[in-house]
Amino acid sequence: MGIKVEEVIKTYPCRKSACMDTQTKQCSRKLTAVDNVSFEVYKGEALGLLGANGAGKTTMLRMLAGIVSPDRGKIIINGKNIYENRGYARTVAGFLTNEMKLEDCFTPEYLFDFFSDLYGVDRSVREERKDRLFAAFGLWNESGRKISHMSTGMKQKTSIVISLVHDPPVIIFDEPTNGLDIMTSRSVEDYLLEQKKAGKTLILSTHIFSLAEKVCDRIGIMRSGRMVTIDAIEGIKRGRTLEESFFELLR
Amino acid sequence: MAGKASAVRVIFNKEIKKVFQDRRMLVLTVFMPGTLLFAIYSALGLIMSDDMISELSSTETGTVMSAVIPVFLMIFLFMGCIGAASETIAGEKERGTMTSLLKTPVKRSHIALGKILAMSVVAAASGISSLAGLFGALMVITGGMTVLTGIQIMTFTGVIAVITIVSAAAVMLVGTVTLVSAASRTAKEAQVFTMPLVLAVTMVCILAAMPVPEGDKIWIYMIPVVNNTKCLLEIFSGVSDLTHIFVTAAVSIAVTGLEVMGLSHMFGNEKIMV
Ligand SMILES: Nc1ncnc2c1ncn2[C@@H]1O[C@H](COP(=O)(O)OP(=O)(O)OP(=O)(O)O)[C@@H](O)[C@H]1O
Ligand SMILES: [Mg+2]
Repeated sequence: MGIKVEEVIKTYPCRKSACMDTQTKQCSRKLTAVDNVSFEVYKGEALGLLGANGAGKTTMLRMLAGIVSPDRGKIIINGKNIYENRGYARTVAGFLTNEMKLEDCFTPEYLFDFFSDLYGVDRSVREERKDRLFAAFGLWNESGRKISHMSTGMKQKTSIVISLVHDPPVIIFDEPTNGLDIMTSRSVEDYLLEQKKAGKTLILSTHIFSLAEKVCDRIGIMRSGRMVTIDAIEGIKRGRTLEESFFELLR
Repeated sequence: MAGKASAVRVIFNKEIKKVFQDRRMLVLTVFMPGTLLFAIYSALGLIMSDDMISELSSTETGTVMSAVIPVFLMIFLFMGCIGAASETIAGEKERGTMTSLLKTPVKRSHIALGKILAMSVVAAASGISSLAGLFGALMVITGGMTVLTGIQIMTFTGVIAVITIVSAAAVMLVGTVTLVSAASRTAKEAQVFTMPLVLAVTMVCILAAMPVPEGDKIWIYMIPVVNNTKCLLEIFSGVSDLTHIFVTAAVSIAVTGLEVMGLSHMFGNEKIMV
């Protein structure tokens, strides 16, 4: 499934006290989180978004997943404008972000079933998928433990698995290896590569360059809401390491 | 995508399961009110004089009780709603679990309905627990059923009527609290914002229980909360009127429908929810 982003702008109301109007206690200025960004991701391709904190990566991904809408511009997935058809983005995308939490009092197994039901996944399909995903991320030992009793990494693994209950054709992951140990990070990489091979479209944001290099075909670098560059990995590296090129581009 | 009935049911089931998982919540919203009221009123009974107790046991008091109990029931119900609904909407927003629900393709109105229905069950349980506590204490104090003399719901239709009116009131009141809750950022904020509503509902219930010359005009039964209180009053004094009950239930359900619409709208608004 191809994705096309056309001149997307997203602003948030600015709540800085410095520019607050003293009388109305309101700020007329807006914070532009994503500023006129256009790019395309092709089916079976993985795009990585890199950028400093606050560059606008999470905001961009939220728009792709149909959680928030752009102020201006279009996002087209598989030929459909997702703001005329929000449900579509929600159905085809598997979205993971660390601001999104799971309910503490439930177990991974229960949550998997709950979200499967919400996505309308068939029972028999669900069990088979649960087996596969729990095995892939080493969650079986934890499957009956409450989220509140889990470590950060286990919670992250659970979140990953839960975001995949409906076997989405578009995988949108925001810092997926956050808090994971190297073994689990490796299994996330392997899983993503396998999905790419199966023809899924991947969009990741990350601060881990090795993950980007291993999984992504192309890299987009963002700075203060703008897409500074977007190119194939080799085109960005040009013989340097990815890190060197990153600093070079953002200097 | 999940079918209509099933998405609502899945969310309903999850909310109910959550109440049972989180024992603290179960105790606080369902068992505490009843136990507390029972304890307080029984303790009051211990320090009451014999005269006061015989007064309480008289038939006249029984009649007065039948007027007071609907008011208490409505207020207890509303308190239960606040406990349950502030947690399930504002609490989920606060903890960041709401987005996980909103990122699914389930219709916003189904999320709203599932949550409202589940919280109504909790609120009703809480209201009934409070009432049972009060009843229990009175029975302990007066040493028997005397208090119940003025109350005549012990017929089959009476019980059905009470259940209808209480459930209708529960969904409507939960809907109200849920709207406030959706507009708040934290569960605490939601509770603070609903305080003025508690006062308002209390006042309206008390006023509704007072006899007025135009008391049986049908338009009175079109005013939410007033009609629920009045119907309960009628049922408890053994003069239930089917038209009144029907109109009241219809009005409560219509109000709930509007609330579900309002809530779905709020769920769809990223400025409020994300
Ligand atoms: N809900 C919000 N309300 C107001 N401003 C927001 C909101 N979410 C993000 N922002 C602002 O938008 C900008 C972009 O944030 P975003 O979360 O997209 O950055 P990011 O690239 O994901 O950063 P990080 O690497 O730290 O995750 C930041 O300046 C941030 O302060
Ligand atoms: Mg981010």
